[in-house]
Amino acid sequence: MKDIIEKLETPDILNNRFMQLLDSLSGIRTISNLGTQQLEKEQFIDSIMKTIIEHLEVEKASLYLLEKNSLKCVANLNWEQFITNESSINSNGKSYLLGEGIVGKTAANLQLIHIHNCKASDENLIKYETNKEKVGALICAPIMVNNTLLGVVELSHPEPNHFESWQEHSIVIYADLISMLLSNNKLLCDMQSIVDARTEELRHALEESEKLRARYEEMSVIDPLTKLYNRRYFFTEVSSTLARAKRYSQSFSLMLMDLDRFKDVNDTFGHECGDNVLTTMSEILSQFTREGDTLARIGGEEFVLALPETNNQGAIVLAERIRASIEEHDWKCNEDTMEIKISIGIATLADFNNEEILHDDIQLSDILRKADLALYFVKQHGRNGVKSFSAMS
Amino acid sequence: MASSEMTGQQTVSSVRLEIQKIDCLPPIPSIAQDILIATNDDTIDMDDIAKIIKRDPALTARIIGMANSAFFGFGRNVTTIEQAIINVLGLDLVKGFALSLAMSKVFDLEKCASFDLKRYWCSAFLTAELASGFTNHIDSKEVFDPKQLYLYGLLHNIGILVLVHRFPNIMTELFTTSVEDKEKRLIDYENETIDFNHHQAGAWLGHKWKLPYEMIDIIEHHHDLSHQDRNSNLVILIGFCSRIARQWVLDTNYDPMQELEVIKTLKLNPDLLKSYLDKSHSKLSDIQKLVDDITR
Repeated sequence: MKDIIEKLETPDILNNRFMQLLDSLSGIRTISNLGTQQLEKEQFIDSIMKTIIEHLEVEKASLYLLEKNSLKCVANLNWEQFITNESSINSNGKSYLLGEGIVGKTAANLQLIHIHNCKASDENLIKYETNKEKVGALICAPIMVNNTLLGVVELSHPEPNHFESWQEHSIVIYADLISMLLSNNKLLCDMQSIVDARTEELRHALEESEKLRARYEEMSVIDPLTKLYNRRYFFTEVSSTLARAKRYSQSFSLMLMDLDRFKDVNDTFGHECGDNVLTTMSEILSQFTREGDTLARIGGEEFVLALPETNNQGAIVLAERIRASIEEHDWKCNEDTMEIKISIGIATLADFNNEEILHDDIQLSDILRKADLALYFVKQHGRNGVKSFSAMS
Repeated sequence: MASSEMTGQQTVSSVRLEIQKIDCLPPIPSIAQDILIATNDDTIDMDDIAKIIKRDPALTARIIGMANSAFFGFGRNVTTIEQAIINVLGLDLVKGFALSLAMSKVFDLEKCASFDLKRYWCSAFLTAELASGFTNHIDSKEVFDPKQLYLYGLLHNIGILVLVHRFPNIMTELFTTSVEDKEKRLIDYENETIDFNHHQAGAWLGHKWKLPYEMIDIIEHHHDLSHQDRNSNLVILIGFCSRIARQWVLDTNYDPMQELEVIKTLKLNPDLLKSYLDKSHSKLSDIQKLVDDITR
């Protein structure tokens, strides 16, 4: 029996083939598993190089990637480095043009090159290998996606005729897996840069719209709550009205109105109710404006009415009617009745002497200040009343 | 060193390349025969197969390596033959593989005449036996699976088989000289005469065969007390067992209790250790009988 056993070589060969197949499959499993992890490009390239050394009986492996017209070495690993767990991400500094050397020729022809014995091979091809005396056998396989070259993977071993067909077949599969990993990574990076660009665009648009909003706010003339003109509009618009009045020596009155104890309304009934009061107030006030008059909300509960071609007397009459209609209005907050009253101060152009008027020194703010004094007088004397500046003292 | 398998140009790395070409180490004829018989027997179960496989360190290492291949997806974490058969490979694959290995060329016992195969075998089995007891008998803080320890002991010297298989003539010379001095270890002779040793050789094969990393560590560093890494205690323990086994097999005056540094590092209780070793010494004759049977 011993004699028969000793003569059998087939099981030996089969065992070897089985082990090689197992190794090759192990490598494929390892590399394809890299695709399921979210790895940086350097990380998966390093793992690929280590897998090739570990599973393909390769002494040295290098990865070249196409950049413009040349193939640049991006990773390089030999067995000793693999055992000591060194990183493969260290270029050997080599770079080949398309068609140059074995790497370049593989890239140019898009076909695997297997040199069984480098020492006996065409000198022209391997003269690019600096360590050619250390390289006995060499396999270069192109890495392609859609017939487009991404790079070349190079395997070498010091002994001639070391590589067999199983390594040749395996590296083709590995190269396909590498191309998938590389192109997935590229897609991911491209997508990321598109997302980044879009995010930047959006951020920019947001900034622009924020600027626009601020500018619009600056340009706006309407108070958003009451829909009356705001303070800014009032000053611009009424300043020219005042100038006209001065030029043509027409009368001009200003009515400054302030809700009495408005803080109490807010505190008792809430701000929503307070806002409703302001809105209703604006509607009532609007009913009293004539063509040419300018009504504006210039403060929290402060309104102003500019009355061109209206003298002190006319303004007082109008003010009294306004005050009365506010007082008489049936103010409600939900079911609760509220008492809302208003104080009004009046000032007119006639409150200034002719000298001042002629010298054009009177500004809108000056008249407003006088109206404010009159208003203050009312507040000091029981509120819910009307006072003109000229009638103070 | 005028032997045919080595020329003057050979370097450490070329020896490594030679060793890494080894896909399988040939089995011992008697074990090959046992396997042939066992695999023809339909009633044979996992335990029987495991028992036969464990008698051949080379076959054991190969099957452990297979089970640790990335293809099966267990990482490099399969550390017992039982695990390899039950969890990873399955009885059929192991039977088939053992059969095909048994049918290939067997180990030529004549090839390395002075290689005392019996001594190697006894030493491997005894180391395995001693190591596996260190979970039960010794007051050690670290807990190991006895089957795992057995395997580490069995395989720690696989490098000797590798070198004898690949460089029989060189090893014949070395064995002839090393037998003369029992105190001097084989590795010392190797380091003096050749540029490599069986620790390295075993580690090179371990990498190629995908043995678990801690096993490679043990193979490479088991007599190195200064070896520092996460497995260092395990490595030191197996080295300790290996030295005890060798000296028992050679029947020298060596006293394990003198290895104070090891005992301290491994936090072994000296009293328990002494009684464990006394009890274990009786197993030597059983193991010698088993080895006689294997190498018949």
